[in-house]
Amino acid sequence: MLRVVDATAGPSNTLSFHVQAPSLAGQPFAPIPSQNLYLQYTSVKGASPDNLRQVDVEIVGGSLPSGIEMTIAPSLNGTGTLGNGTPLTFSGSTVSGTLITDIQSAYTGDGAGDGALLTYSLNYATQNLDAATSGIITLRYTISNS
Amino acid sequence: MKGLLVGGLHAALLLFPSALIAQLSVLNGLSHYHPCSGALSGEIWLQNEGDSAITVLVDHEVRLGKTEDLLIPSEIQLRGHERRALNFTWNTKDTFAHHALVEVYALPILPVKHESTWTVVTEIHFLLNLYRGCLEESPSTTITVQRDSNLICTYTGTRIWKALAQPYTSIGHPIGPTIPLFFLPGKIHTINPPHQCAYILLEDDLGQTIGIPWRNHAH
Repeated sequence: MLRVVDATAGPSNTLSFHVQAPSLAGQPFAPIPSQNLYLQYTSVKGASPDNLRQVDVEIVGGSLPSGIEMTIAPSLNGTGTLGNGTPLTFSGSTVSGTLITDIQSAYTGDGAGDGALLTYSLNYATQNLDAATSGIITLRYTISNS
Repeated sequence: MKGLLVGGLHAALLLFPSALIAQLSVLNGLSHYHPCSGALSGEIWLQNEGDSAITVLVDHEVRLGKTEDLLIPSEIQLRGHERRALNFTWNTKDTFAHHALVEVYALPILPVKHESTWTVVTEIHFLLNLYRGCLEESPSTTITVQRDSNLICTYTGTRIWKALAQPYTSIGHPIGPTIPLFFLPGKIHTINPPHQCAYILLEDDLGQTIGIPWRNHAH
């Protein structure tokens, strides 16, 4: 079982990063603060080949313009064999990766602040921004056997 | 709507109403093996994690066998927080291994695009493996072994072979955890024997064992 929630443990699958214009001419656009979601899951491993699970992430809709990176950094919290998390950075042609591997029997809790903390960050340089730098990016999380 | 901030010159977190959130869970595992002596039908239990009804889409691809070997709905509906079984049936009774990949996910609902805003939407998909077939009865003739720095086992039969691998020392003490193996035709498993391993014993679900010497091939 798995769900994506916000900091209040309410179901949430959408984050929006608002690009902030500088207050004075000549200044660069300020960095966008990172935002968090939580992946809450309960996993009970089965017999092989269902003894290990993993989470892959892929951009399946929209695209990141050149010069803009998106990072998802997982921090696993809970009880049991929660797996191993690896930060993913998406940019240009890099649109997929494995976020968590080797999940066995574990649970993360279902309360506010429980779960694998997923920190989303957008990084860019002002000189790489243009008027079209907004849109919708769809991330597909796929849970499968390793 | 829980909260909405648009148009300001500051970072904004958009929270969409729960009606726009489609989340799905699979409750009973990601692999289902149906031995040929058992039932032809099975169930994938699904749960809607949200308050609103969702449409669950089911894609499948038969990787081993014919497309018509597996009967499974392509779409079902789930009410808010409903648990329900997605039934499937194997339409084959032969002894050969059959394998299908099944992907289940909620029909996505895209948010509205806003100016100067990157909206990141998360979809959750579950990828399941369904297997059917008889267990291999003669693994000693259908498992081939190669040794380099690892032990490479290849299954050359036409059925399914399930076994546990246990490394042993030269005086017969087990070392390290057992390693679960699941073979389809042509499948390769690579085992990295631990230090001091002298041989590896493979024992399958039918109680058959295969011993593989390792000492002379240590790193």
